[in-house]
Amino acid sequence: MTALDDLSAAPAGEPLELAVQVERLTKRYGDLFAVRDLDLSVPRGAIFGLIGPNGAGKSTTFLVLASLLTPTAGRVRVAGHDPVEDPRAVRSALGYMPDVMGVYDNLRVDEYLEFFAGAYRLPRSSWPGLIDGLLELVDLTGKRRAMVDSLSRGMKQRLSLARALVHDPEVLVLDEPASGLDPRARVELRELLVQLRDMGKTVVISSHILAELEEMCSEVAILEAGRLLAVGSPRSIGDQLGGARVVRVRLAGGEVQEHTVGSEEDQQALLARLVADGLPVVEFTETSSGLEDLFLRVTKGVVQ
Amino acid sequence: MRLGGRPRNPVLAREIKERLRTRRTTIVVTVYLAVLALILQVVYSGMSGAQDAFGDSLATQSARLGRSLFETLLFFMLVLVCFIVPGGTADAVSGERERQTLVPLQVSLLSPRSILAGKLLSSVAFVFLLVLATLPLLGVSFVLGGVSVGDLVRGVAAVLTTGLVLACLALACSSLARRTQGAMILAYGLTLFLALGTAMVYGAQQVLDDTGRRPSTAVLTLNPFFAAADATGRAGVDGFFGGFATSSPFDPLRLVLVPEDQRFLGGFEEDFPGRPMPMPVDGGPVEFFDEGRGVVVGVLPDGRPLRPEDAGGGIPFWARSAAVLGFTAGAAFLLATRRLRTPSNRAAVG
Ligand SMILES: Nc1ncnc2c1ncn2[C@@H]1O[C@H](COP(=O)(O)OP(=O)(O)O)[C@@H](O)[C@H]1O
Ligand SMILES: [Mg+2]
Repeated sequence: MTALDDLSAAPAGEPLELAVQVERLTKRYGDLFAVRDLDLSVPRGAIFGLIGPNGAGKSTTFLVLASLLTPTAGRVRVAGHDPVEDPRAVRSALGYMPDVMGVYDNLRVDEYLEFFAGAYRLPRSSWPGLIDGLLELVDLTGKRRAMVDSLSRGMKQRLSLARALVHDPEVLVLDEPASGLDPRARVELRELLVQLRDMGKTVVISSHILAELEEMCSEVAILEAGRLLAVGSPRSIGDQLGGARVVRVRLAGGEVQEHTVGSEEDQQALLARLVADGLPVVEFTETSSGLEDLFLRVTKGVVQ
Repeated sequence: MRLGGRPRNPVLAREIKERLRTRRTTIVVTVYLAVLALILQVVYSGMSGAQDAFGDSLATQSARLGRSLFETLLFFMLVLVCFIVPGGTADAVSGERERQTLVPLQVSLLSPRSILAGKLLSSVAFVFLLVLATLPLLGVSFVLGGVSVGDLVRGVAAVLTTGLVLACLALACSSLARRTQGAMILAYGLTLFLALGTAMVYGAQQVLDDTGRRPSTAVLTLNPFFAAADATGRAGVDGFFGGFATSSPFDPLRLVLVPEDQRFLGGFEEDFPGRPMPMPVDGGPVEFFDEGRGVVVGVLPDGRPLRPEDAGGGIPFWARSAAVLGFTAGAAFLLATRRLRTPSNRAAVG
C-alpha cells in the first residue's frame, strides 16, 4: 500500500488545486435520479477512481464533466471552468474518452489522429511531431499506417486515449477504459495512466470492477444508485465505512474465529486482547482488505 | 472549402477521403453517367429520326436537337440528384451516432455548425463532381446549338442548388432521427414531397378552386423542377425556340407557370405592340398584357391584383423559388445545428 501513498503525493512546490470539482450534482431523467447530490473534489495530479456497479451514475457524471449533458441541479468545474457556461474552455482543458469507442472504417491510424488534431484547431505544421509523440506514448508507432478498424480492442482503446490527448489537456476523463481488455492490456493501460499522471495530468477514471483501479488510484469514490457512498484513499475508505474489516483468527487446535473490526487500530487492539487473553493464535488474517470485497459489502443490499 | 488546397474543415477533409475510398462512390457515379448516356442516346435517335418534320434549315434542326438534349439531360440530372443526395446525406449525423463517433466530435472544438457544414459541403462537392462528369454530355448539346453559355450556367446552378437544398433537408432528418433508417425514410419522403407532392397540391388546388382564378403557384416554388424549368427557359419562348418546337420534359411545367395569354404571345412581346388584352374570365378577374412590364397581369373586379406578382415588382418565379428553397434549406440547417448543440438535456448515445 505504500505505492499508493507515492501516487497521491502532490508535486512539490505547487499549491493543491482542484482539477475537477463537483458540487451537489443532480441529474434526473423523469422520476429516475441518475446522479443525486454528488460532491467530489479531485486535486490536480491525482488519479481519481469512480467506482460503482452498472447504472450507478458514473457515465452520467462524466457526460456532465465533458460538457455534453446539462445537470438538473448543482454545478461542476473542470480546470476551473463551468461546462454549462463555458463549454469551449472545458473542451480545451479536457480529454474525454467515452465508454464506447467508435471507429471510422476508412481511415488510417495517423489520419484518425490528424482528423482530431484538425478538430482541435491545432496548426497543421505541428501535426507530424504531435502524432509521432502520441503514437509513441500509446505504443502504436508500428501501426501508424494500419486501418483503424483492423486494430485489436486494446489498440483501439489506446488509440482512443491518444485521441483524447491530442490537444494536451490538463484533465483526462476516462469512462471504463479497461472494460473488455485482457489482463495484459490492462496492465499496459495502467502503466500508461501512471505515466500521464507523472506528466502532470489529472486522471479521472471509472470502473465497475474494483481490481482495475485499486492499485493505481490515489483516491476513489464509491457510487451506488446515483449517490456517493464513500470517498477517500482506497485505504481510508474501509475505516470510513466502519466495521468493514473481517479478521479471521485461527487458533492452535484448528478453531477458527471471525471478528469484525472498524479500523486498523481496532484490529491491533483485537490482536493485543487475544494475546493478552492467552489464546494460542497461529493465524491472524484480514480476509476482506481488498477493495473488491469492500465494494461488495458496501453495495450489498442497496442493489437488491 | 478552399479550392486548390486542402480543405480547412476537418470534417469535410475526412468525408472526402472516406467518399473517395468507398466503392459506393464509384458505383453511384457509374450508374449516374450510364443513365444519362442512355437518355442522351434515346433522345438523339428519337429526334434525329423526325428531323425535317417542319422543313427547317439544318442549323435550326441542329439547334432544336441541341436544345432538346440539354433540357432532357438537365431534367434527368435533377431526377438523379433527387435519388442520390438524400441517400448520401441522410446518414451524415445518424451514421456517426451509430458508429459511436459523434461524441468525440462533440467534445472537440468543432462547433455543430462546422461539423454540419463539413457534411453539407461534402454532399454538395459530390453533386459538383457529378455535374463535372456530365459536362462532356452537356457539351454535346452545346456544340449542336440552341443552348447559350447562360443556359448552361443557369442549368448547372439549378442542379447544384437542388443538391444543396436536398442535402440540408437530409442533414436535418439525419440529426433528428435516431437511426439512419428513419433518417433515410424521412429524407426521401421530404424529397418526394418537393418533387411530386407540391405538384399534386397544385393540381388539387386547381380542381377544388371553382372561382375561375388560376391557383397560386406559391406551393410550386418549393419544387426544384419548376424552378429549373423557369430558370432555363419560358414556355412560348423556348418551347418555340426561334420558331421551332423542341421536346423538353420541362415544357409541361413551363405551361403551368406561364399564364396562357402570355404563352399565346409566343414569347415575342414586341410582335404584339401595345396590345391590351382584357380577357374576362367567367365575369371574374381580368387578365391583360402589361406593355410596360412585358408581363400578363391579372386584376380582380374590385381592382385588387389577382396574384401577388401582379401587384408589381414582377419577381420571376425562379427567383421566388430560389428564395423559398433557400429559406427552407437554411431553416433545416439551423434545426440540425440546434439538435447537435451541447451540453444538452439528454446526451446523444454514442
Ligand atoms: N438518457 C437517459 N435517459 C434515461 N435514463 C438514463 C439515461 N442515461 C442514463 N440513464 C439512467 O441513469 C442511470 C445511471 O446511468 P449511467 O450514468 O450510465 O450509469 P453507469 O455509467 O454508472 O453504469 C441508469 O439507471 C440509467 O438507466
Ligand atoms: Mg457507464
